[in-house]
Amino acid sequence: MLMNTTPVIEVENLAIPLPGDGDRGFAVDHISLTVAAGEIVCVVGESGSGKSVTAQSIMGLLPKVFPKPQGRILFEGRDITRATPAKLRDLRGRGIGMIFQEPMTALNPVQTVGKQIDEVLRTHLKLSGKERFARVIDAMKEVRLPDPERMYHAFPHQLSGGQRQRVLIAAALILGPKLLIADEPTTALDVTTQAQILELIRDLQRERGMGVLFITHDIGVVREIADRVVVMKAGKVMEQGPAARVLDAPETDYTRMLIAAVPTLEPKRKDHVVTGDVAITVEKLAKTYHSGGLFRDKRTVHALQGVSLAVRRGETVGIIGESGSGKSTLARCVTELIEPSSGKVALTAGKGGRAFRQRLQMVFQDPYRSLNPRRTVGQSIIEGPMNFGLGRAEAMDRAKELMQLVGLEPHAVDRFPHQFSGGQRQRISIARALAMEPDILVADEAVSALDVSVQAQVLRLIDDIQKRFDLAILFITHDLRVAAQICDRLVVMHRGQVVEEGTVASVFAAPAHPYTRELLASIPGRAEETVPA
Amino acid sequence: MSSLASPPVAAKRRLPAFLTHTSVLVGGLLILSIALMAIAAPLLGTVDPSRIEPAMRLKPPSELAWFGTDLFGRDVYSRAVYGARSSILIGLCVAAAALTAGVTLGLVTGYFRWVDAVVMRVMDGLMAIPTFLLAIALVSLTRASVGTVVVALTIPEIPRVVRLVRSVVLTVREEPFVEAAISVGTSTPKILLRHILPSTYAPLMVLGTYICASTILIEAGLSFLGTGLPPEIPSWGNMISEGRTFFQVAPRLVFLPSLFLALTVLGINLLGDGLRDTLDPRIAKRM
Repeated sequence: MLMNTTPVIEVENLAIPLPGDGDRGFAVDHISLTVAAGEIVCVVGESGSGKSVTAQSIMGLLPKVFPKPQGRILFEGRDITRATPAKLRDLRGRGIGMIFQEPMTALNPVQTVGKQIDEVLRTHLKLSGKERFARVIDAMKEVRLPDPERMYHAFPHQLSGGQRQRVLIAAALILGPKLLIADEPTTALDVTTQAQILELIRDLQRERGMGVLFITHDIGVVREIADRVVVMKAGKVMEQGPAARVLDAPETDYTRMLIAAVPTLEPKRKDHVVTGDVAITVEKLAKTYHSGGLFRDKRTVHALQGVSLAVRRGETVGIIGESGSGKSTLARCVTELIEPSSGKVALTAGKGGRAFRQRLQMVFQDPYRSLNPRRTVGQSIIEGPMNFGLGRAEAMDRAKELMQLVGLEPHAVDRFPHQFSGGQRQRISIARALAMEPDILVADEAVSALDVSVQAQVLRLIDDIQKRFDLAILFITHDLRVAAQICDRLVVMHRGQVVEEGTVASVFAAPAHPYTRELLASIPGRAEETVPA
Repeated sequence: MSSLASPPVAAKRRLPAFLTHTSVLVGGLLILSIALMAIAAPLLGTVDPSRIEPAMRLKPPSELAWFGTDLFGRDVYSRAVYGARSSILIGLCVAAAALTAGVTLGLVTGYFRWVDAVVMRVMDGLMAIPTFLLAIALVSLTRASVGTVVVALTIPEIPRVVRLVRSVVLTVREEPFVEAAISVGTSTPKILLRHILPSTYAPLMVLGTYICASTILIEAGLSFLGTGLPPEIPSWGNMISEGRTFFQVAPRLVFLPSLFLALTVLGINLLGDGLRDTLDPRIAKRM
């Protein structure tokens, strides 16, 4: 590893006040950090810790709502907080490159990707069209984009998520900056793609000896890539140091908590015996989408092909797979939100002929959008029971009990969703599902949007309520660590088909399908753990 | 962690942002004073606006008639004050009718795909008819009355409301909270009214004010052309129309109704702009 004496970037006592009267005075509270040439520094923290704001202030891209930051940011010894806008513009691109979380929104949808990389050259250098084209092609080759000459003329929507992120990396690095700022660059990507992008960033960093400031919330990613780690919480640096030291012998409780909250790959339910009756059977479910029509060629997409499974009461079956594997389509077919093209979903005859919607409930992924922002959480919880004839007063009493059950204060039923945190909202969604007294719960990425520490709590809650109500749970997730925590059995999906099925322990220990093996190998931070057989 | 603690303290109670916005306040005050003037017309020193007194034709301002009299000896001031009634009444009726019809159609077309193709083509057809021509045609087919004018002005406004509501419904119906409502067994009408309709309130308030303003202008235009309200009902439009012939000798005949018309439309537009600025989160954030 190259180590240079002058750091590429030096942040000294940086403080960015929060506008208005928030719950704290500073978005970034007097932090100092450095990135030397040839090292990858990971800034890790949960949402709201100020890590993105730090990156934005280094790039001079702080949103206008923030007042001017205090402190100094030195790029190769020169203070850039006092640089003129023209100097800053020159610095961005030549001195510092940046890549973002969501490659689709960071690219202009109506311009070819080649042109967008070319724009960096046009802005900063005076080169002929031919020279620029050659340099763009070289840059695209360097980030291992296939067939660069053809891809130059492709539009962002024609590329996969990983390819789009490669395009952004090519654009960020084409002028050979000394520092690359990567703000959650792999969060929006599938786990196998994430592994490839992380490898690419590390390779490029080594070849060029540049510094990388890598922002992430994922301790697994930190383990994969970091030389040094900076842990942030509520705008403050909690601790920083070499990766091995911080990760293996953390000094602060917060870092210890953060690391401990990352679910292990050890199957939690190895000894859990499921004895319940079958609650739901899915038989040869298929969903086909047609597009095109009158003036275009017809295209048929098989989102789901011949999926069969059964879930018993008291059992959690995990559906795992990457985006596009059909797992969400499966969830929506099972919950009758969309109609399958063929096949059927059958609930085993239960008590008193209750309606389908009472017996099967769903918890959604995004806690910020799955509750109607204009209705109190109480109104959201009682809506279902009242649809099936329960009186308002009675339903509200039950809602208060459920709030308590999911760990919230009963009188909070009168509040609106925006007054709760993400984790609390997910608890409310669970309470809403439980209000229907379901036999079966379908959880579609129910903890994916939550910070790890909150994720662990919500997983515990789901575990609890399953025992209490003897629920059959269909748990859809892309995160194998989460699956290991809560599932009895796993169903691996790939391109609309089930490619593997079995207990968590057996799938982890002896994956039969190559796709499952790839998924397992791509889990960030996995090298440090052994998967027990 | 905070998940188990009580949720954050309720946001401080304060006036909704749109009530402190300057242009909302100015526009609102203008509209309010004109509306009050229309309601309190008999108490504002007016006489019967339709009383014809041939002996008093085209008299200059005096103590009896503050703004003089018109060609038929009617009091210009009284007619202008009473004219506010028909203008505001028609503006409000058309806005209310267009919103009601537009919201109903918009909700249905946005939510049910199979209705969408049919209704939207009809709306496209309606949008192709010029407001003035339709109004002139309707008024000449039937007798000129407030009702006819309201119908004639409402029809061309409906497609604009439908398009707006439909676009909101198309985005909101994909929200997970709508799916959540479906999955707890909420019926479709309830989903439309309870979960989707409230999202249209803010843009509708804005569109409603614009419809109101443009209707008042178009009604004045129709009356000016002689195809609007019957001449015995005092309205700003037919006052300007009648006064125009004598503009060179007695510009006062046109002055008062024009002033009221301008102030009303200015007021409504200020209100609409202000509402848009404060209710549209994309613009509100920038302020």
